[in-house]
Amino acid sequence: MIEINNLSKKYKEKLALSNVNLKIPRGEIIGIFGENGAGKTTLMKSVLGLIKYDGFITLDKKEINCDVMDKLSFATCEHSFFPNLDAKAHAEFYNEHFPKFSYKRFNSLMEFFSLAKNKQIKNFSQGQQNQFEVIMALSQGADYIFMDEPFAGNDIFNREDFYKVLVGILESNETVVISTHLIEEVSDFIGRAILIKDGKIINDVSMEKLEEEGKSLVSFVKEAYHYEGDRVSRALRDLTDEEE
Amino acid sequence: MSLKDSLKKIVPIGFDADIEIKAFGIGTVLCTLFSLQFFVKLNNKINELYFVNGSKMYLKPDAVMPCFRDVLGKSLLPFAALFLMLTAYIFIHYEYHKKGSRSIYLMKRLPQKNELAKRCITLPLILSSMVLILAVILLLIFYFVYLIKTPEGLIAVF
Repeated sequence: MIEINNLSKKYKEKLALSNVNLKIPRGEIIGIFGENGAGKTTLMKSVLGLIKYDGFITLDKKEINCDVMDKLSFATCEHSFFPNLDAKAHAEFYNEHFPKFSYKRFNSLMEFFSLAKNKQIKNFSQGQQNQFEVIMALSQGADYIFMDEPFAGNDIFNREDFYKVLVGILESNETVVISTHLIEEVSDFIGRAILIKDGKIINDVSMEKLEEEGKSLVSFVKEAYHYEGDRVSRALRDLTDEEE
Repeated sequence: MSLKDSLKKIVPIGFDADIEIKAFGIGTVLCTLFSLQFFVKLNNKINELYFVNGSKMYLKPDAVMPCFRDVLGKSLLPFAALFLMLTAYIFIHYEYHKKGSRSIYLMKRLPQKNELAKRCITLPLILSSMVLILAVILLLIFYFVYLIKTPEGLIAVF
């Protein structure tokens, strides 16, 4: 289990995260939602040790350091691959550095997405690069797979294919934490939804509970953000009144 | 394992180290050629110690040989510039991980905690050390030649 205690992060004058407490057990698929700048990426980068933070984050009660780093993987919309390398060379690199790298999963996913293994990744399209980023995160052999807006730039068909594959290939003890704006699309396969606003977790609910309450994930998010459904009609009314 | 394969292990993944190595090679040759002006300067200073009478050369009674430091002058200074330039590649290697993607995230996540440092620092350290060693060897050679060529009693190091 990943345990996050009193996590805070400040960038110059902006408080990106404020006293975040969270537990991420094995075997869950978790969606993290929030507006731009809410703190989703900062949260993930803190867990992965990519940025400094205040607070405590442990994995199975131990500090997250190089010794346990192979248990965490990361797919980011910023892309963490080596642009000048091809897919085959990436697989060799991962195999050399991550003891549980799965060639079987890598080859299957590369074939599924029809990606060339001998082409430099910088020559892939944006959508293909996104797919490759996710393939490597899934093939690393990690217990916790973090994905930060992994589908930016992918068309709906690719995204739907990916969701089906993701649900199909994951082992029962693998955890996926995915941040995305595509709430409706992921609502069918996540088990838990965490909402972040202004650096704080404002809600953390299981999809089962939402279902029991007869709520959709979209309406739940709107409620949590105090979304005013009539603001568009009000704005239009004001505009048309002005013109008259 | 070939030299190229060994080189790939100590530079950032996918980084083309040819420019760096060429800069080292050409820079070292140019610096060495520049430093040879020491011998010209030494020769001129030695000649100034003598006067010619007929076909013989005689040491001037008031002859003063400049100290070694003055004769050396700035002959080896370009090596310092080359050393700094090669050391700057440590920064260039690190920044490479933010070009085209953020492979820095992957490198920072590796279980081998020194991998990023190894790939950023090793080659610049090797090349700049070689430049430093060459500069020291030349300095020793120049000093040795200064000692041999300077008339006894006129040697002044500083």
